Amino acid sequence: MSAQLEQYVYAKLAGGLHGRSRLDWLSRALAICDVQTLNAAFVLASRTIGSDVLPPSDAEALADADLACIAHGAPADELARICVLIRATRAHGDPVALATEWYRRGDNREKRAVLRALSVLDDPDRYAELGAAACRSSVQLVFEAICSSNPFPARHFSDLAFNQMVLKALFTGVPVSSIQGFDARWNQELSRMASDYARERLVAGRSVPVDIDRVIASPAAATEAS
Amino acid sequence: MRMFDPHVHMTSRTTDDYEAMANRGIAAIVEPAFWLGQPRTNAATFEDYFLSLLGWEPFRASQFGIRHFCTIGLNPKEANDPRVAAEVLDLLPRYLVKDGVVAVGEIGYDDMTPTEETYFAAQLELAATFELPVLVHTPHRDKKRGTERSLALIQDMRFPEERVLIDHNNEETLPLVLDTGCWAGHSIYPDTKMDEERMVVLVKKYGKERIIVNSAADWGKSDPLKVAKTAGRMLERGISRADVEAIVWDNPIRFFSQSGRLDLGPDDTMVDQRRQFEGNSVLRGQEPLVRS
Ligand SMILES: [Zn+2]
Repeated sequence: MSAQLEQYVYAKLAGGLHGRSRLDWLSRALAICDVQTLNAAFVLASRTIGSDVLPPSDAEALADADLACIAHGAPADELARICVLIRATRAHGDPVALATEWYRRGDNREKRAVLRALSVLDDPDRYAELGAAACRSSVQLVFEAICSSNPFPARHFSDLAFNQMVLKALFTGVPVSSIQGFDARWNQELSRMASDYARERLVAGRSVPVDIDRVIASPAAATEAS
Repeated sequence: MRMFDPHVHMTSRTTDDYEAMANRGIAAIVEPAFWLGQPRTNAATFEDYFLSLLGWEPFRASQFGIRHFCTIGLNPKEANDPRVAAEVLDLLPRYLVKDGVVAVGEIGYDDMTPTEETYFAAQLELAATFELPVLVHTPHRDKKRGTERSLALIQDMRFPEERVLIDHNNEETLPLVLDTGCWAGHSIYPDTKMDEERMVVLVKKYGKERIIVNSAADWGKSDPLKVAKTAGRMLERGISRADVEAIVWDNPIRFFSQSGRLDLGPDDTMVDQRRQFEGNSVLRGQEPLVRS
């Protein structure tokens, strides 16, 4: 799967301005097995690869659904960083410690890249704690990197972590429709939390998110009704 | 007028300050790493501080449309503290490489101890290695001597002067700095350092070349609107609009651009591209419907 992603990123980088040098830089970075050097490449990716966004239609060329989801609308540096992180987790004896460290010591863009990568790392279940911790970030775009258009939470979060994430999405205006695998993870407790939140807002005379009904009502009921 | 505050410690300021700064035209800022009002006793707290300058603070600024950059360094006050100094110096390479870091700083002298000099020199070397400019703090006490010694050390080490910003200048130190190739910063403070009226006099005497003004606002009695207020005063006193713009916008940009990392384009860290592609940004920036 990672080879597929690397090929896709190489193909993307080959075109456009400075294609050759960007490509050379990434292939040199990925040829390295030393984790320190890989981290240096991870940090430098924005300045060397650039952060231009790869057009969404191209992402659909990826056969793997997770990869397509991660690549959709992603900037070049983010995808390069994901490739580098995949290599580094394979080269390191304790991949969870490594990913956690790169996340902790990253700036906002680096943090986002780690979170976007989680579902395509080997044995992703072991990164559940890191993903749940990232939901506590107050930097909205870091939160959205895990919450929105990311298959990881629905597949690997506990009910508690998933429900808290959905509630935070409602709080911060992230569309529920962007949460991957939402219907499969819907549960009664989540529904209760959302209706309590709606009531709290109404009592206070405040507005309620437009898509809160999607969280309150069971997806099964919605299907029957339609 | 678009303005740049090249020295402001926003970590110690409120969102009201950010809002007021944005309203007065402050579009970009540099937050230098300094001390926090009381000594830290552990290098790990420095690391958390550096991380907040690279993560949380740029996000806070972005909410008000302000671009936030920072400088990373071991400040001279805490360079004297053996509990943290050596360990913090070892941490620096990890952070000097980050995208939002546009200089090494604040470094320099405070009490002018030999230890301060050791760390000042070591960080000039780091700046050369990482191809970054430096932001040099000058002491409050014995300022003229401190400035002379800073300039001498920079010369001794053959650090390129055009990549040095000597800060907190006054009437006595400014001519010394301008005699070199270094840039001269002025911290406009309510009571100490430099004020608007004195700054007008200095600009009329020395012109605009390599002159920079900042608020140096922090947790002490200070004012994050001082760059805007000084620009206003300069205009009132007949300094041309072009010269004022050079001082409060072009000059800091020219100086920090030497880092190669001063990207003033739209902050795409804060804009979710996916959102834009999917065209589902309906909930962002507009009031959701009220259900009754
Ligand atoms: Zn300062």
